[in-house]
Amino acid sequence: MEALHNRQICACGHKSVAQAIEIFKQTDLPYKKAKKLVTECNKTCCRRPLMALFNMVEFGAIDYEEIDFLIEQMHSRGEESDE
Amino acid sequence: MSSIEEFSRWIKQNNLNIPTDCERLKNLSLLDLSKKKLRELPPSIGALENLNVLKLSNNRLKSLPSSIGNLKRLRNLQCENNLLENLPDTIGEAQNLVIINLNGNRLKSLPESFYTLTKLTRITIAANWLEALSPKLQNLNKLLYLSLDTNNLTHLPDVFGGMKALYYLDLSYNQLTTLPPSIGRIEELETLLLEGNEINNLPSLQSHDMLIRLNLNDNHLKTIDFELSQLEDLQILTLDNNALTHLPPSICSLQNLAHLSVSGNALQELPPCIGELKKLVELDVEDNLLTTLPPSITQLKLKNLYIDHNHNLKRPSIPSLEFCDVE
Repeated sequence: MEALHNRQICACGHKSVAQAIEIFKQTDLPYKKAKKLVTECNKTCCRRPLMALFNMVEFGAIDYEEIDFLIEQMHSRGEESDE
Repeated sequence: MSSIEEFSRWIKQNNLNIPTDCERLKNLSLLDLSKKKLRELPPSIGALENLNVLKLSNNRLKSLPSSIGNLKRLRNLQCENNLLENLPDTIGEAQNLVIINLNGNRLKSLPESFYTLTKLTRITIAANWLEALSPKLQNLNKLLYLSLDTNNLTHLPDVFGGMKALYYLDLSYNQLTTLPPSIGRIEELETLLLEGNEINNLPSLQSHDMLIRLNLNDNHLKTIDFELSQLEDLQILTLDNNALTHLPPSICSLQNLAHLSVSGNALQELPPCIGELKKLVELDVEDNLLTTLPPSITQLKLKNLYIDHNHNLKRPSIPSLEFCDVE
């Protein structure tokens, strides 16, 4: 499980899943603004795992395996930073 | 051994927490196999002849058995976030399908038989690898909801004219440069999402007088080349991350507009008439080249205002304002 926490969620910003969770927990901003706090960029990158994680934080329950799958799926599509 | 018995045995072998009694299985109308780490389904699943709803999401399935076509009563197939590389041709035999969710798989194409599923009202195939759709898509004229975002589509067949009831169309994150003219004839369209394409010719949009939400983010747009004022029901307009240098004054005639987002463009000014947008509650013009805000902005009943990353803009005096990203 720790490996899932520590996995990088996006090449932009280099934040781990755990770090992204903390950032999302500490902001009231909507997704498109909160996302920039994680990725430190204006691109629409890493959208599916980040949006899923944002929604999970709002809901109050994190499914780490699903986030891991979505990160893997993003890598398989080769669309991490220029989606 | 009958197929039902085989399926019962498969359930036991996989330690799945669902009934194994053959009579109950035969009458089962809903089967939820989501999140079971499944890598394959047995052909015997086709024996569940009374199944209405089949949930297979969040597994590791690379294919579906051809016996899926035996599920003549299946109305709802949920197979999100698997590893499907193709669908069996027999999918077309599941003629009662109304809802199908194939988000997050690896489909490069759909079998021709898919386009015979004429009872479908809701299709979600986002985040796959689709490269093209068949012109036979026009057969699916009962569609209400079609999500094709995050695929590799470079063009669409011009077949949307017959989709009279379609209210939601998501084509975001493909490689579209134009829209087929028939998209302009979808009479009931309320949501049109075109984010993350390279569309630069949008005149067909102005016929959508039912449109409530339009997303044109990330399209390299330099101008708005369609008559915005005709979108009289529009409530949400997002144009983030384009190359717009100005907004047309006609935007001020959108009397139902509640959310306007134009962040990440090259706007040097906002239309002086912006105060006419009486229902606007959120305005996002962050990350532009604005040096001032028009005086009429104080007439708005904004709740949220994003103006950071321009040229030293100050928070305007708007009594209703609950959040502004600068002081």
